[in-house]
Amino acid sequence: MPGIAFDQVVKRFGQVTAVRDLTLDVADGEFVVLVGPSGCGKTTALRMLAGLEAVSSGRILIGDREVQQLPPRQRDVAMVFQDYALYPQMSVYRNLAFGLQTRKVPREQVRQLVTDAAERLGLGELLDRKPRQLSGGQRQRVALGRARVRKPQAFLMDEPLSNLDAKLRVDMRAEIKALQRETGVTTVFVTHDQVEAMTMGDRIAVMRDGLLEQEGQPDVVYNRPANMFVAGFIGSPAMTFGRVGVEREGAALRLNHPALRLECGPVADVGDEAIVGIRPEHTRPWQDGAGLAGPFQGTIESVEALGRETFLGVRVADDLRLVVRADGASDHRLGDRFQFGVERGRLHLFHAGSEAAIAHSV
Amino acid sequence: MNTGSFERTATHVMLALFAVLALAPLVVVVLAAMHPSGTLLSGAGLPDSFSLATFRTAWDEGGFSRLMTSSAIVAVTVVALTTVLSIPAGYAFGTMRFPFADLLFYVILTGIVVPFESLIVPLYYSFRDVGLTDSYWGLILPQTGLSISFGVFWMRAFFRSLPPELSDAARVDGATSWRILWRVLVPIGRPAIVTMVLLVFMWTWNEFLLALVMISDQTHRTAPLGLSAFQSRYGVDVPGVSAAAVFVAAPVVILYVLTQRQFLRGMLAGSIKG
Repeated sequence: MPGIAFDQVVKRFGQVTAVRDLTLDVADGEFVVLVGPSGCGKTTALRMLAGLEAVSSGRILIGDREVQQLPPRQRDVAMVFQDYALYPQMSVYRNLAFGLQTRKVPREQVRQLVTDAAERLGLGELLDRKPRQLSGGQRQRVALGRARVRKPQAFLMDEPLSNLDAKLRVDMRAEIKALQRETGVTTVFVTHDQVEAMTMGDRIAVMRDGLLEQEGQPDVVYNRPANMFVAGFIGSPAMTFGRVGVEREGAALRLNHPALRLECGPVADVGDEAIVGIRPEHTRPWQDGAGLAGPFQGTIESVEALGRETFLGVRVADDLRLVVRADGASDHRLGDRFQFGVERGRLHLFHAGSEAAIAHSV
Repeated sequence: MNTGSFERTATHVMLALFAVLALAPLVVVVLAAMHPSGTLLSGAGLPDSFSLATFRTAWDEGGFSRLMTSSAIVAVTVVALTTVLSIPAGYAFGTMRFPFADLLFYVILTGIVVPFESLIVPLYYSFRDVGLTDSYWGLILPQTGLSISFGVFWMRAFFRSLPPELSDAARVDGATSWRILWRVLVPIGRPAIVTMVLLVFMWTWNEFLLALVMISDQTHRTAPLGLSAFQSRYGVDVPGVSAAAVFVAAPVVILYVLTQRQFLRGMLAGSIKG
């Protein structure tokens, strides 16, 4: 199975540049997730790969072939759409068979391939139904089946889970991942949901305003975000930030905020001011002797009880709000004064001007 | 009586009133046709005895076998040409980007905007010069041209209302634009197409002025012109012309009844989320 490469790809719509100089390699058989907020260019990138949008400049390769000038039918990719895009007048069987029939696959072989794909996806009983007679989950399965049955060179998936309810979404995540592993087909998956990206991708590529901000394995992107945008986008609840003054004490640094003083290990290339990033899971209600930095004080502004854990929005100062993770059983109320600590060696430092990362886990 | 049931009753009363207003002329015409041919009638009235004899007389005297055949030839050809040409043109205007698309579309729209009556006289002279008067083509070509304006406008709106993902999915599935149009989109567009067919058929079938100007021989006269056979210098044979009016109206009514479900769906397309 061939890999995919974007080589300095640009897409302009009139005066607006939707994708800027995108360069990204997807290895043969790899599952890469393009993730970012709405309007970041991820879907446009996918549509250019599918051949549904023309490339303004740059090259797209599938295997060794340059495909940016080829129509979709010559690219041999399969795409799953957010709204399923099933052909409403056709039965499930004909939906699955359409791509094969278009490619003039012999009828008997079509029947065999469709039946196999339907059985694999649990659609065997539904082959005579029309899409309107199916549930959302079943429709999504048909859309997946339509992609799978053709045995394409690449699967392209454009937010395929966003119309499903939360439980079904989790099930389908696993199913898509299994499908990809089983077929070994190179896959590019687009989502705005960072949890989906983290759980599904072998690698994730984070985009903003048409730019690729960072790409790498999910844990690398999570633990070593390239800048404040990636740090804030990947992780739920998001990392919280505070502007601090930097004082050197020998090799170590002291990070000063009127309401928060933190110490961290040696960091090169840091000025007199920096942005400190703290992930909620690296904070806890204050406990003496727990080895935390602190105690720090604030007022609880929001309580997000998730059962197993509770996330507390704490206003430490007018310009500093942090999210603190507490036990699910803890009893905190809005407006309570609250003491918390921060795990040592878990801070992220960012450049105060460019917002680029300076150091991680310090 | 609560507000809900009052509103419902009031709605039904209004609808019944409008239905009566719409149907009354038809009933008057049918009742008039039930009178013996040549009876002097003024206003609506029940015949002494109901008889279909006037229909037979009117059919024979008006030569409706030939008139209806001519009308059918013209209407079916116009509808077929309009449908075959409007669907791909509407698809192109509705889904594709090409140079001067907007300008071309506005040019096509002039067929709807410019009053047809203002074109008939110059058209007559042009057609006479090329020998197309007194021929079916003299009726078919202008009406096809006019209907295509509407057809393209109508089909473009329909194709624009479809989610683009359907075409995208088919394109990624390997289909060409032509295959996407006929295999994926046209089957979905049946209500819109049936509506277009019905409207174009109705307009073509009922066209009077063009036929009056272009056709002077008996062979190519269409059904609406047949109504004039019941007018003499001494007056109008009201039962006869009423029976003839029923003949002229019948094909459109029958076609509507056969396709009304699709027609209503086509008229409502886009107004209600499906």
